[in-house]
Amino acid sequence: MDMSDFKELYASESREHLDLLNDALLTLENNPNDMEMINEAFRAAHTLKGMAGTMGFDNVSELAHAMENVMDLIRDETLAVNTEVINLLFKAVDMLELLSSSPEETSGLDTLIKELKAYSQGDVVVEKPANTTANLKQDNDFNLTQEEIEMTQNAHGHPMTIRVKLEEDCVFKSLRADMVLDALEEHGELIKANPEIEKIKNEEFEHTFYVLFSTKDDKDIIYNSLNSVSEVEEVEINLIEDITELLIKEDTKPKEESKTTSEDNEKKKKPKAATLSKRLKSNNTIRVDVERLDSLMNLVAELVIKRTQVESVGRSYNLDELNKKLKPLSKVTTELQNAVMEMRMVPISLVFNRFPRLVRDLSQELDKNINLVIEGEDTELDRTIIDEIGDPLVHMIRNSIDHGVESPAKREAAGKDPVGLVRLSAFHEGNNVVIQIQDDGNGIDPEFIGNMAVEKGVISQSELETMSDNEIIKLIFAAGFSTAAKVSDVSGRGVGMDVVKNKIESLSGSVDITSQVGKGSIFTIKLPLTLSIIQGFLTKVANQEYVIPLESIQEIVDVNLDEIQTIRKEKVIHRRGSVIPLISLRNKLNKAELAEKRTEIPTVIVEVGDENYGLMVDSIIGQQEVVIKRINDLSENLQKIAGGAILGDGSIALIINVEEITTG
Amino acid sequence: MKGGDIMSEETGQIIVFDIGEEKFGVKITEVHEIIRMKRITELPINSPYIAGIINLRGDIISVIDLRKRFGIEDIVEDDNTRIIVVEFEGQNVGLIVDAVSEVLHIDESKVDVPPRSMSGIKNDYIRGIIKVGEHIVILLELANLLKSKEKIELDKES
Amino acid sequence: MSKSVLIVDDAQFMRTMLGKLIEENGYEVAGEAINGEEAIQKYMDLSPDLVTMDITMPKMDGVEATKQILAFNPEAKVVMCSAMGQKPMVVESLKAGAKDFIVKPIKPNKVKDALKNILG
Repeated sequence: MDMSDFKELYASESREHLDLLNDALLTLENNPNDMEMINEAFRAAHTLKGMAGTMGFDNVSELAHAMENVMDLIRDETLAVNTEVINLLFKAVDMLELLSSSPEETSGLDTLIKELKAYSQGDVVVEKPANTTANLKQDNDFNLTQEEIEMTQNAHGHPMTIRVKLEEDCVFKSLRADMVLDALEEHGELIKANPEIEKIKNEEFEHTFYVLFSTKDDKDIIYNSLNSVSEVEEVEINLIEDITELLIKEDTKPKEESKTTSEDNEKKKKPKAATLSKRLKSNNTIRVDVERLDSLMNLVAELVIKRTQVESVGRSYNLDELNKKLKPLSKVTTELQNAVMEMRMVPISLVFNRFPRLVRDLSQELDKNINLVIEGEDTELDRTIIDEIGDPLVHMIRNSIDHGVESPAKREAAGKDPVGLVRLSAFHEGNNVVIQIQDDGNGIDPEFIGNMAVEKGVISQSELETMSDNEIIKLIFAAGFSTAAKVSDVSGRGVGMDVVKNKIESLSGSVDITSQVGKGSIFTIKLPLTLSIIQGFLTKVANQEYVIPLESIQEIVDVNLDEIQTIRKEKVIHRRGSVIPLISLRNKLNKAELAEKRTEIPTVIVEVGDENYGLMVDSIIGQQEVVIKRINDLSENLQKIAGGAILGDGSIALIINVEEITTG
Repeated sequence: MKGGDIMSEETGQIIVFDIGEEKFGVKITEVHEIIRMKRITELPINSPYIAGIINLRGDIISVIDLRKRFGIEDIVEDDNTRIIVVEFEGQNVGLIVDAVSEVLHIDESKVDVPPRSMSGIKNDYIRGIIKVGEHIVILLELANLLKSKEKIELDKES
Repeated sequence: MSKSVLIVDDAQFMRTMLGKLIEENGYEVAGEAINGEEAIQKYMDLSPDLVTMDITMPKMDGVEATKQILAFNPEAKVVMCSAMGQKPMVVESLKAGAKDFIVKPIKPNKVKDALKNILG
């Protein structure tokens, strides 16, 4: 195989991983405890090592390996991240970069590798696996108990000892050993192993292990079966004539010997156990099909509804006993639903993490100077949304950098900081997750957009004249608008803002823009926290039930008619020293006002942002837990209602979107 | 049907329903189920055609009043009124109709282009018409019918 | 007729490498896939004798793709191409029915042995 064909491919792929490594180290420098970063750095170095090795660039491979070792210790937390270590690693990255393009420039390489090794072998005692000390007998001594001998005799096959040696460079030794043991079990019975099976599974052996095996099959069959397991180097089978020879000797001498060595081992084992268990903990996850999670979610939602229905029966018939028993049931189902919802919630950092690198690349590619600020990366959203929101965000950020932020020269000329700001933020608002992409670039020019829209036939000239600037700016989301002939985003697909909008809307979300020419733009994406189960107060307005989410409610009062004052045509009341505007839900929901005047009006006081409002209703029914179901409004812009909830009697209560109803 | 495969794309089944004096048809493959009228919860929006939402076995689905959609005068619902639940863009939507009359096999090759003017209904939503016995069944293009961005424009001139 | 192999890996470099190794050992490259989804599709289209499956890939990872391919054809022969930290995923794949695994960086002799052991 001629490696020179792959030089270019190698160069470009190395470049990618070197970047990753660089970024990870940069972040690690500022966040020394960021495990994810060290893992990323490790992976990048590891991949580079692999590629270099395959290409025959042994020096690069060796350097990457040395880096790996140092980073491994950091990962294990046996080596702390400090400026010296980071600087050394950066030096190594730079050397890797140099070597990638000019493999001959090896001056300084040896010293660097030595320095790295000093870290990985110097200050820290690297735990050696317990078995490399004298304890393990590297021979056939099985030392069987009487019981084990009887087991072998009962197995009805020929007993044999099998020695298996794995290739020295075998990495997943326990997996290979498992495969060997699995292969054996197809032919007979495994009596004992040396070292014990537990140790084999923990990779506490060098390359060789022994098995006491009983089978009716011919030894050649076993031989072939084991040899066809990859990475098995040697197989040696010895038939046992007399099993009793392997009975454990009752000597005290060997016992004492083993006692001291085993004590030493205990000491050495303990720290290793600690690191192992730490590793095990990080492996304590299982992968679950998202569909299964979905089913689970749906079932839980149904459970909540059914429970509510049962509660409703209990209340209507005044069944005290039943109501009492339902209380703990309620508690459990609530906990269940929280647990299930939590399973699906993941932090948005999973998506946001791609961006620093993206921005860096784009900045270079487009010759812009960008400062990316990320806020709220811990904000959680539903898993399925995370999967889908990445691409639209990438596109929008690219847009901001490409079309939004001006070149450093232009910016300076305009009196701006040559470094452009792109701020990506995420936060919860009511039942939504809000993601904002803000830039301080040149903004979106309604005149330019308007003319382009007319040119492209998206709207007519006359329509353009009736539109406000804000409406015109929104045209960039219109189908057929794409300003760039061939936009290619990170995934290489051509995409337009209309595709972005569609994608977001398909997630039941919405996207909006505000922009000022010369100052910048803000894109705001709102996404629902799907399948939310919320606590709310059930109220009645014009014979229809409405739910007001508990999280917005400050208090519920009966407003006396004489408390109401009118200030600048608005009805308000005074409460705790502040003025609270009153809003009639009948009015907001386009229903006629009540015929008879009431002296006491049930009012729900809610908080929206920093303001309080009083929502006047017909009657208050009570606190209720409901499952929010999305309403497909067929794009009719149902803003005041956040969703629907199915009540105990099967009827639908509408969930009020408190923000929209107070400020909309 | 002459010779050929019963499974061929040339024949299909449609569900025929009545609205006012007219008969309409939609492909059976688009229909999820047909249910009796249920209590409709109104929504606080001024929509020309969304009548509201209903609870369909725990799912909330939007329901369109086709009479309203087609600009035909409203009537009082009766025992025959039905809601045809169709699937559109991954979600279920209900269509209120006066009555559901039958399921027909039709020969696609016999579907005609709709005439220029059909009173009150814009042509986009019609994929064709077919004569069945004495009646004309207007075959609807669901996607266009339900694409909410287009508000229906009454063809007042005919 | 020589046995064919479907190569699944999101890195061009790896696909090309493996391709060469496969051909050098006298087998045919049935095709390539760059993610789990494509892998399943191509498996169904090409019916290769063996699949080499990378683990971390966008859209759908190798473990999931392996499970689906085996669901489609329980006799399918899949060899996982794993990186160092991916042992649990290899375990999962083997449990699901993958026949073997190779750990990166790939060594020509290991690939050769794995191919020989499974395809003969």
